[in-house]
Amino acid sequence: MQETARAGWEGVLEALVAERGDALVRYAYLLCGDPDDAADLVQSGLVATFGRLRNGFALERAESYVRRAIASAYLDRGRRATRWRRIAHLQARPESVDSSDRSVDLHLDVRAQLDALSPRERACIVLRYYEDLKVDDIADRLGISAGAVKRYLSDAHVKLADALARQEGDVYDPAR
Amino acid sequence: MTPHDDLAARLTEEAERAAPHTPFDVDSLVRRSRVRRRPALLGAGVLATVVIVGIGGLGVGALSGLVPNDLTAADSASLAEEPAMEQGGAGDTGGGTMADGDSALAPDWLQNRCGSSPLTPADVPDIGLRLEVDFPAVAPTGTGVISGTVRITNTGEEPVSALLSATPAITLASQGVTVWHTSVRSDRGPEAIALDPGDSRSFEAELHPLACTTDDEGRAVDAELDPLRPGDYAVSAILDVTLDDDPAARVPLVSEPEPLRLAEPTG
Repeated sequence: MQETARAGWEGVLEALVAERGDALVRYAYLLCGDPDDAADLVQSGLVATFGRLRNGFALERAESYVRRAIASAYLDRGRRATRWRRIAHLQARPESVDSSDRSVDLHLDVRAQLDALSPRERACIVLRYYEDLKVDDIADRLGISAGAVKRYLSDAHVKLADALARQEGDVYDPAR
Repeated sequence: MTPHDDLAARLTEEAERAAPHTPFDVDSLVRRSRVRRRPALLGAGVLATVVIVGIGGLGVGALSGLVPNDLTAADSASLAEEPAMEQGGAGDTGGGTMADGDSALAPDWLQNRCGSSPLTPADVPDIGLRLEVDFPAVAPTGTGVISGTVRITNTGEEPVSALLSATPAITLASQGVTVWHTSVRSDRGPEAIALDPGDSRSFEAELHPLACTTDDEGRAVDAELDPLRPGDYAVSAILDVTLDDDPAARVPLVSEPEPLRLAEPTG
């Protein structure tokens, strides 16, 4: 762990931000889809975790708690998104991107596909494929049952399959 | 490449492409975490009695061993935090509200203790209420009282009903460090307010241009303190708010710091 001038939990927090801050932002970004919101989620997750975490925790375990808090915060915001949805139409979104760059197209595709998922479906997909967690671990991370995780993954696969198949000119089969 | 690998690769590419490097303010994160740790500290039984009281320079009382210093606070809090952390971060929204229960919350007037970095609005959750201070831009040094007002405004789009724990506590800071804060008890109890969007409510407030020390617990403050030197300071207010629609969440509301110049008395 990086050496810091801070002691106890404050030192763990500082080291975690320095060593894993960007990774946490990437994780939060996949969940929420917005870079600014991702940074906010990470900060909320750090404060929620280190506002309770006792001294003596290793960085890796602290990071696990922070990732859990980020996912919870993301889902909680989804539940409270009514107000957001009322003003969402005021947000500026690019209507089109004039680019022949395939990577840009893929970027927009992936983002659009994730945006089409419900918050819980999206969280399950990110945890399954980006975090590479098993179903039981996803259930533990999100505080829901393994059965619910399977259902969300299944529903998400259906939504993703069509988009991915269109993109690849093939039939997407998650069980394959 | 399997579909699993394909999707994993696409997600990784998307995250690396779109998520920017974010320089976090560690000092701010530490301060905000300390705010959340204090309720656990108080709830851990470190204090025999905590009375949430109003502040505003209305009464005078002694503070008897209310809160140990930050390091002790963190260490003591750790004794009580593990069960909550182990049980379930998933249930913790991480939204920044302090839902640990009213009786466990440190009073507003102990949030910005002497020698600490005062909280700023960025350190606390945005609950649709804004706190502002209005004190003279220039005031004389000495032991006199400087009077001003603190205004709370509903900046949201919905009416807000809330319970204010007290009248606002005032913090005076120099170069980002608290040099004085309200530290006397008020005889006023919690007060309910209802604000329509855009509505405000003002409170009288006072500050004393005195130099407290880092040992600001357990002493009858102000009466023993020396006047601050002439110079530039920042005054801010902090107030605990409990929203009626979320009575379990008690949050500190903090104003932006406003400049205050202390000058030698004239005449």
